[in-house]
Amino acid sequence: MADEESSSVQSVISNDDLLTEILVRLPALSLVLFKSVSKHWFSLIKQAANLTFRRNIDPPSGLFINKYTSYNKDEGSFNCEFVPLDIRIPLLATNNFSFCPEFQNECRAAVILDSCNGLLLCRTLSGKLYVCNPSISNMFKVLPQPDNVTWYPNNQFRDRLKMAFDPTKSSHYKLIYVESVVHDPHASNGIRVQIHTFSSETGNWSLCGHRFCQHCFITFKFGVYWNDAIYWSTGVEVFKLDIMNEHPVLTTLPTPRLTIDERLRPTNFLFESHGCLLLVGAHVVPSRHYTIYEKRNVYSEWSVKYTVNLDDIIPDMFSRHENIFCIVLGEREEDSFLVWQLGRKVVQHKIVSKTVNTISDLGPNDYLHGCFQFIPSFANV
Amino acid sequence: MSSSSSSKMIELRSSDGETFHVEETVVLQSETIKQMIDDDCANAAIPLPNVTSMTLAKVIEYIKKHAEKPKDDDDKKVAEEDLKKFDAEFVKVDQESMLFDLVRAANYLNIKSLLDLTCQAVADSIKDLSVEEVRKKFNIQNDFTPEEEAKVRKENAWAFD
Repeated sequence: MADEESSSVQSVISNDDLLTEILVRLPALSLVLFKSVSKHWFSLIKQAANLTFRRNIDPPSGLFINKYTSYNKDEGSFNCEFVPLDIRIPLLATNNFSFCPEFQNECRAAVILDSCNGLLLCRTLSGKLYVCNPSISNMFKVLPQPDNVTWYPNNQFRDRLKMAFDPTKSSHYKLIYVESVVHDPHASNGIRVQIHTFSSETGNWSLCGHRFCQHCFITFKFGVYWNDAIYWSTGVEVFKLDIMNEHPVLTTLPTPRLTIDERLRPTNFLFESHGCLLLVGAHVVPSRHYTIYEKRNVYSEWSVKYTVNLDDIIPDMFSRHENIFCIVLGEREEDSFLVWQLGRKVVQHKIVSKTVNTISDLGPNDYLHGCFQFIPSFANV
Repeated sequence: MSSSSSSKMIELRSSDGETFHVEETVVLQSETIKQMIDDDCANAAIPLPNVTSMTLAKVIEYIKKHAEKPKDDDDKKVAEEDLKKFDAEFVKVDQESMLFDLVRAANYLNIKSLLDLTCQAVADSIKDLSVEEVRKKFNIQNDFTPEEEAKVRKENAWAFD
């Protein structure tokens, strides 16, 4: 470095106010890593991280691969693998860490229900709910259960829970729980649902007075939070539950114009990444062809983002089980990727370069519960 | 330089003695200069002993562009896009030292948006570096003992140890 150049740089770096101005604009991951540059940087970053004005959403730096291993028909256990997406993350990973030390004995590994802009919503096997920030040690909060809800640990509907957290808008998060209720002779299948919302601002659950048809909500747990609403698909329609008001409002979202051989799937087909809502159209003929549609904001139309032909990528692999578990749009096009379950393998597929690498293997009794993004964040819970 | 505009011109003098004439309305984006004008200290050339002519020329390019007013709402949207492009190009400087000079100048002249822009550009230029690379780039001595450094790393839950 030339003398002149180095003096310009040094005069900024040696000024704590200016260095702090630069540090607070770093992604959370870099900020956390750079704590070990020097003692001085450590103390500046400690102070800077306390400033709550950091309101941006960072790109994901890793993936949590959440698996269920069944021992027999009724028994099994969850475990969680961490796959770093940034080479600077030290990999000391065990496959079975716990986000929440309080439940370490009861349940070593988390069942992740949702990942939303830096926070994870998890539950233990016995049904206790907690929210945690995996970027920070011991940053978790055990949450109360919805009022007057019988919380059967093995109720298949217990996971109809979604989290809504947008740090660019508020430091508080919401949970939405869809409860199946009461026999109603007027509903076609006799069952309706009601919606409980939890606000971290009040610490309380509240019940929405309106009841909805259950059939709209069967795939709610595969939904995504995007722009103040939860979106999910039943394979026929895409539903939108607006959750910003006291009473959630249910509407439908127009889908892209699909070709005649293209289908929507009820599961694993709606995603959110880089501020965009993404929808996957699966082709019946030719099979293994997928179209990924993108909606950049609530006002924009759907447009084709990518078309993917699995035969181009993994021609020799025959598997009847192929499912997209995650879509990540990178800051640069070449960083964008899909996470597929292809048979007994979980693979990361870089869309532009069409390269594939296996990030996890599934044993004969393993079931892939989900693949969740790790978004570094300083958010409190 | 002044065309049809009737705005008062302010004279700025850089550290290396070069003078620049800028419209008052443009130069008011600098809180520091605004204060000087308010205090009636701007009758003669305003000396800026911390800013070189090269840096000052860049700063003036920036504040001139940011002083342009869109005519109507349609124009406003176009202007916003245009300004975004301008900002992105503006921080693509040949010499890295210029970026740091601009940080310093923006700080000294107290131009908030320019400070935001240039600090973000510096942050972007280092965000993907390793700890070692940061130390090397800024000539920083690692004053942690190995044990202390290990402890700092352990504070992150994603170290998963």
